[in-house]
Amino acid sequence: MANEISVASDWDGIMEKLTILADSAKYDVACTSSGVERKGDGKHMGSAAGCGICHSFAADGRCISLLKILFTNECIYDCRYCVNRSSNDVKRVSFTPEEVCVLTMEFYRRNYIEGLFLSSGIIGSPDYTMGLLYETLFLLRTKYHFHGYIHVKGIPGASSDLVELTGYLADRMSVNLEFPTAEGLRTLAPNKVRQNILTPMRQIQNGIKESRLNHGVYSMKSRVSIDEKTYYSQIAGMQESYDKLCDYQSAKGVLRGEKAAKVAEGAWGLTVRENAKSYGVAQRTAALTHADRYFVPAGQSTQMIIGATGETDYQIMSVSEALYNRFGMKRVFYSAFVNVNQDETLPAFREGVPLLREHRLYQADFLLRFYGFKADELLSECRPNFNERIDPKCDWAVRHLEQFPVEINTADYYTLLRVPGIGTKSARRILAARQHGKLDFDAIKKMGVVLKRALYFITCNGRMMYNTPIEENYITRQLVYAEKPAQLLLPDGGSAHYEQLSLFDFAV
Amino acid sequence: MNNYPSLILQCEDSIEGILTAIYDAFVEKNKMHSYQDGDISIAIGDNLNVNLFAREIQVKTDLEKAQKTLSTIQSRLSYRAYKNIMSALCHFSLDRGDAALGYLIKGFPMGAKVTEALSDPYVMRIMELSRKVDNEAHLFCGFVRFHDLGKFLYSEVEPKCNVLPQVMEYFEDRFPNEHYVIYDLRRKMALVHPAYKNSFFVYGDEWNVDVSKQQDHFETLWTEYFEHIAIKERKNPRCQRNLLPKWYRKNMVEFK
Repeated sequence: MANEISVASDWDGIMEKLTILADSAKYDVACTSSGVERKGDGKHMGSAAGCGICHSFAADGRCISLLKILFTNECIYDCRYCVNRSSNDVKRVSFTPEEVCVLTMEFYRRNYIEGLFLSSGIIGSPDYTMGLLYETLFLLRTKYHFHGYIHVKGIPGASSDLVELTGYLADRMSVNLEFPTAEGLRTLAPNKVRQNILTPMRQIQNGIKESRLNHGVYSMKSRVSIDEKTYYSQIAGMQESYDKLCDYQSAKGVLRGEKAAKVAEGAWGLTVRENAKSYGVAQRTAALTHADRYFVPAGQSTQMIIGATGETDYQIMSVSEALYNRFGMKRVFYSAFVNVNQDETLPAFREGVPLLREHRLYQADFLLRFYGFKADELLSECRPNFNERIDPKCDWAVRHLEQFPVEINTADYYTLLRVPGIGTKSARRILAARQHGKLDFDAIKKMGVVLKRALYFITCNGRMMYNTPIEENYITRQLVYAEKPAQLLLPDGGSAHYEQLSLFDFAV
Repeated sequence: MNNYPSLILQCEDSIEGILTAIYDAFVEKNKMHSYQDGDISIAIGDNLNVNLFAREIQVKTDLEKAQKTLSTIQSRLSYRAYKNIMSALCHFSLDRGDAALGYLIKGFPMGAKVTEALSDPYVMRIMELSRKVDNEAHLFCGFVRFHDLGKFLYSEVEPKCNVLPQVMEYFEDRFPNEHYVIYDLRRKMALVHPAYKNSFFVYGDEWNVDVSKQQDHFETLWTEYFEHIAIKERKNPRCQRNLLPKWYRKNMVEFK
């Protein structure tokens, strides 16, 4: 193979670089390959699936979808939480752009990966680093004709022109928010500046918006294949249901999310200084010269470390909500803090990494994105953290029992979605199926409804499944018991002990 | 499905075989004076369910009949229904022929709406079967591992369902410029793709190609990368097993 010549001479050197740079990249969370559906071109290697594809699962249970590596672990910054901080005495190595390309291509054709996730320490200057990332992507796309997925980090402080050029080659870009509070960023990452993170985020957001205008609406519908007929027949009902949800939320005073917005503003101050340089002339010329290319078609994401700076879940969720609403984020990722540097000023977590908290945040994140929940509905100033024992949706449900029970055969989409144990897929199946006949518990179970959670909140044809009382303490106890499998998420499988309860004590 | 069948159609264990049997079943059904649910049953392969009161017919696989069944499904129902049935027929369960027949008997009067009528037991069964097959096929899109044999890429898989027909298009689209072979050890069936050409299947005995492997540096690199990308503090074998059950790992290079 012609490709191999450049690296064949020095397998050991490549191996060393790969292991060191994989080790430094592993604390980055996102490894998703979703968000863009792109068929192959029939000549060159590569395609992208809208749903994303996992190629393996590492020993920590996290999916390996992309080749996640740093370009270099040399870094001029001294962030206290990071393995690659400049004051750490670790071996420093750098790839060349060609090496990254060859590794990506060869792994890809053996079907090990779905694409490349390229991040980097800051070598020389932000601009120089971003330039290297751009060069790598440019080679990969034009010389190696790679048509698979590429996720690349935006380097805070890099010039907007470079960010923009890179955006036309990547599928997804992300700029790390690092911490849920600006205070945390100041103390733990003294070299990073708030504005340098927010400005490229805004630039990418605007670029995506503009690119979609140029190419016509590039909505969720065209990216993920949905059966058209079902889609249109359901969309009217869903809109009606959504209006009802909005009415409910405005009656509760959470529709605008003012409280959460205030909390987010206090935590991060998400206003961007809009200077002319961040986007504008260069953006438009590039959009014209790259008329055939999309700008960051799979959207933008970001991530933050949780548990290092003593922030509350309410602050985190408020910041996430603000990022979704105001920066058009596709995803916000949370990573439970691991004290890799044994830094004494940072929490150590002797009992293990706070994985359950991370899990709860992801659950709530899905509620924000797909279930029509607002951060203010899930948490508040007086209840700033999630319940450890039951998931956020169950927690909301047992505190709002006046909304239940819900009749499966008549309830609208967003009402169904608020029932614990019913997800987007099963709710859609219920909507479709009940047009052809009444549904009973057996049928909805087969459609994917998790009855062990749902049964306390629903009726089918006016009857509940068992004679269970709609009573907060009783349901909470049952749900805590039902969630026991969540212990799977704890590393040793048994560090959390819940009181054993009988499965159904039919107290009325 | 409740009453005993009065007619059993015995067909070959292949998609074409079942489709032929479905064609014949409709011919027989039209001859009957009154048809009740479950009167005709399709027995797949050698699993003959000996029944004292049922008439048995051996169905000879006929590609023309199979093709007719398929085009009828596409024109009278919908592309989605066609996809669902094709997926369901790739499942290993023995009642997939009965389910498909029941689905079609229910479906032809209804038209495209049949995919939503999940309260019907046959429609639900087809949904379950196709969901299982589609999920497994989706996982294999990621879990297939190619070995570079120099002349072509070679992969061995042992799927529970017959996923090769399901993943064919996906790999063809992704690797148009590669010669590759995916070999299903369980069914002795190979998916062959010559570069820039259409894929095809090679069955059982016809497949004898030298697949001895030589050392591949990228395999070692990948295995090592796989070890290093995990965070030790978060080690969680149960979660890993949940997402990637052990039987999938048999032919994955990083687990050897």
